[in-house]
Parts: sequence; structure tokens; C-alpha cells
Amino acid sequence: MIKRLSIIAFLASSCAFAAHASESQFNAAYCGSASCDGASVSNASIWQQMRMLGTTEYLGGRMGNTFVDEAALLAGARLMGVTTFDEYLRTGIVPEGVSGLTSQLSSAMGAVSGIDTSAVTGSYTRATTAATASLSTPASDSAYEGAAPASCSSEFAQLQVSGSNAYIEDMTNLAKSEAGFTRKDGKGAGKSFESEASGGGTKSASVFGLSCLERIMTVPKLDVFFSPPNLQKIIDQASQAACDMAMAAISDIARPTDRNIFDTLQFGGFMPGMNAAGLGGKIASPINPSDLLSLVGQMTPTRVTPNVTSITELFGG
Amino acid sequence: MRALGLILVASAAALAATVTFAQETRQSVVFSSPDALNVRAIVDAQYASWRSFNREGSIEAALIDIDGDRQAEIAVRLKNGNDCQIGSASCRIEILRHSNGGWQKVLSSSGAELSTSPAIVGYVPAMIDGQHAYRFGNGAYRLDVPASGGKKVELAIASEEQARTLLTVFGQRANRAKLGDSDIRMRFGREDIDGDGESEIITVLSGPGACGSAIGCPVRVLKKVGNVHKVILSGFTNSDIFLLPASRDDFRSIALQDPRGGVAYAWNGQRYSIEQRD
Repeated sequence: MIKRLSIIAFLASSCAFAAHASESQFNAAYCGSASCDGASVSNASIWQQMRMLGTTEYLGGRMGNTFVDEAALLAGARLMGVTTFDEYLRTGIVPEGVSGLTSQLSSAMGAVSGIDTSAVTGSYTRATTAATASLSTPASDSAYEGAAPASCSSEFAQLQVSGSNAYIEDMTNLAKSEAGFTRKDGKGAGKSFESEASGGGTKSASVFGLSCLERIMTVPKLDVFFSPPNLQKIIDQASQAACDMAMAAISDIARPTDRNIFDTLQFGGFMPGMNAAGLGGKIASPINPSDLLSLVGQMTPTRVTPNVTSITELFGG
Repeated sequence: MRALGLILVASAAALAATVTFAQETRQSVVFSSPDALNVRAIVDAQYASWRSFNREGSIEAALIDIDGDRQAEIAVRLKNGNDCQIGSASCRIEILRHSNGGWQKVLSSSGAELSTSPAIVGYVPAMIDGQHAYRFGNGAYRLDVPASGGKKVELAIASEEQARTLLTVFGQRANRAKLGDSDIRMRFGREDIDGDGESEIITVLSGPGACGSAIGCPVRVLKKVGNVHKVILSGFTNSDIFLLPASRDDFRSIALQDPRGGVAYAWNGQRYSIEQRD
């Protein structure tokens, strides 16, 4: 009896040690790759918050070369904070003013992916060869919500990429159309600027041959992916046929996103902000402005503005 | 002990003298035509996109040596209009440095005047409009909040009821993640940042999950507009929040600290936006 209890105690302590070891391994790998927030951070608490937000639905996907397992999600949340990371995955929007964040994210998630953190998260989603091609049958140690999103299948990846390309093309066409932006010189939709003198000879002539929106997308370091929540403002500006105003609006609302991270067809097509639930079957077909408007209506996050009375009461004048 | 005290006093005096010296020896950078400096080709190549968006604008340049290697860096002033006014956002000042086989932007800020002080060690400190001080570190100039005369905003822990109310301005996700848990702290301060006699509310959400090691903790600044409190600044900080002496339309500039240094936010007529970009 005593011997049996000893064995149970030994096994229990071994498990506890293993759990501790895996979390230590995670913390060491994370801190070795990212600006570290200290080992005292509660991974369990962060995981719990991600479950509440539904961030765990991205388990089983891929971001670039990184398989998104529990450890990778934890690393992303520790780097950006849970809510910001969740927003990034859903919208592709990174916080303004933080340069190189997506590369930090990629590095941190890549450094920890594959580490078993099930002692903290309760599950461990394994990357398999099949997972890359299709994650419709995810390999997860526990089934509770390790189900991979539909965005992981190669077919869906293809749809996503063509959807995003069509999306940009549609916006460009919109810019060229009468309903969209007009050029300041009134030369119409043709690429008339290509024949203009290029001044010092070193600037790219092609920039001048582009429509307003094409130029926006061509600008180095202004790597804009139009996420749906931003479209309303863009289309509002388009209706006023004022490219310059649209430029201001776009620079105001569009935060830098890393297009590389969207161009992940070869890796399984995970694209933040583009998921099956959000875009339905529309992504493979051309999107017209009215669809965009309805989409914007559906996806625009609502920010609750607190009632002035309650704030004034609570904080004074 | 007395000797140590004397050393400290002497050190403090030397530091004060150095600061005074730096202020006295601050030199305004004189901008002129890129043609005159023979850097037209470089400037045109670097700012082709800017030119395409700002056909009415003009670019001026100056040669400076920020790192003492006797290789010139290029300071540029991008003018959207005819003039650059101190305290307005009409002009952009940037510094380009050649490294890794290309020209890298190491400073980008709004302003009319760029000045530099002699470097005590390393790179020369830079100042925009005599108000925002920048120090070089990790490959770029970052806002030097203490040298810019920032006043720290005092933050208090919000009560549970206050926290519940303020949580709404951090969005639905913060609500859904139940960030009102015990690990999460909500702090707030009140400052009249636009001089209208009414305090704005500055609030910071902190604790595990709310903050990210790369970006810091979410910050919101609320201003009462009519019947609602409107979010006029949305950003991140990993330590303190400072009000800067500089202002636009009476709205004081605000500095937040991210893990790499200070980030200045300035009023753009509707809300606060980042003044200095990497």
C-alpha cells in the first residue's frame, strides 16, 4: 500500500515537474526571442482570456512558416497583449507607431511553436504534415476547441489569396471609376502620368502612372491592406471625389500591416483578418462597393462611448 | 562621507554645466535647396512617393554629421505649403543616414526647426522646434522625454466601479476578456490638457493579458465633448505618461513610453496622432 502510494506520489511529482519544465521551456524560448515581460506573467491567465475572446479558434493555422499551436498563441498574446493580439488576428491591424512588430511577432511565435504547454493550456495541437495541406482533421491532444479553422485548408487558402487580390483590384477599380477618386488634373482613368518627365531621373516613373489608390498601395513603408473596418471612411471620401482628402483619411486610419504575412499561400494561407466566418462565400467573387458597404456595416467594431453622466459622477468635472 | 558628498555636488554641477552648455551651443540647422548641396538625386529617389502626393510641396535639405564619422547625413524638411510654422504640423523634418547599403530614415518628426547640440558621447542630440528633444539609440532617434521637459501625469488606481466604466473605452474585447479580473489594474489621472478649464481623463489598463511586452499597456485619453466622453488618444505605454510643453491648438503634446523609448503624440485638430514616426 505504502509502495503504491509512493509510486502515485512519484508519478504526480514527475508530472508536476514535467509541467513546470514545459512552461519553463516556453518562457526561456519566448524570452530568448522577444522583449521579455518576465517569468512571473501568468500564462494560464492569458490563456483563459484568449479562450474567452475566442482567439483559440486560430489554433491549427499557420502564420508564415509558423504552426499556430497553443505556445505560439501564448507568445503572440504576451508580445502584444491579449486583446490587441486578438484584434490583429481578426483584422490585420497592428498598433500605430510600433515598427517591426509583425517581425517580432513572427520571431516570438516561431521560437515557441512546438513546445507542449498543455500543462497550462489543457491541450496541445500538434503540427502534422497533413495539417499543412488540410487541417480539417486536426491533431489535437484534446478536442475541446483545438479544431482548426477552415482557413487552414489549401483550397481555402487559395480563396483567401484570390479574395484579397480581388479586394485590392476592386478598390483600385473603384478609385478609377466615376464613383471613386478622380485625378486632380482631370486626365481621367488612363495611366497618363507615365509620359511625364521624371525630374531627377531617379524616381520611379511608374509611381506617377498609377491611380490614387494604386499609388497608396505602392508607397514604400505605407504597406496598406485595406481591412473592412477602414473601408467606410475610404468610400465616404471616394464619394467626394477628393483624392487628397482620401489620402489624409487613409493615413489617418490605415495602420501599417505587413503584407508579407498575408502572402502566405504557400504556407497554408493564414491571413489575419480574413476568416471564413467574416467573409463567407464572397471572397472568391468580385466585390462591388455596395457589398463592401454591407460588409463594413457588419464588421465595424463598435466602441461603446460611456455615458457622460456616469463618467462625470465617477470622476468629477 | 563628506568627500562623497562633495563628489556628488561636483558631479551635479558638472552635469548642469553640461546641460547649460548644450543649450547654449545648440545650433539651428540651415536648410537650402538640395541642388546646392548636390544631393538632389538622393532626395528625389527617397521622396518620389512624397512628391507624387504633394505636387505643391517642396523639399529642402541640409548636411549634418550626427555620428562624428565625418560622413554627411542628410536632414530634409518637407514643406506642404509655403511656410513652416513652429508648433504646426505643416512641415516634416527627417534625417537620413546611410547604412547597410542604403539611406535609412533615423528621425521623422513634425516641425519647422531642427537644431543639434554637440555630442558628449556618440550621436548628437537633436531638437525639433526647441521643444522636442531626441536622443539616438537602437538605430534611430527617439523622443527624450525628460530632456523635452515632460511633466509626469499622476495616476491613481481606479475603484471597481470606475474601472468597470472605464473598461468600456478599451473596447468590447477588453470587456469580453473580463479584464476586470483581480490581476488587471485600471489607473487613471486627470489633467486639463487643452486649457479649457475642464480636466481630461487619462486612463491606463495594466496587468497580464492587457499589456504586451513589445508594445506596453493600452492608454486612452478621454475628453468630454457635448454629451459624451470621446476617446482622443489611443496608444500604449510601458511606464509613465507625460505632458510636453509643446502644444497645438492649445492641446499639449503627450509622450508615452514604449519599450524602445518615448513616442510623442500631437493634436491633429480632431484627435492625437503620433508625431514622430520610425
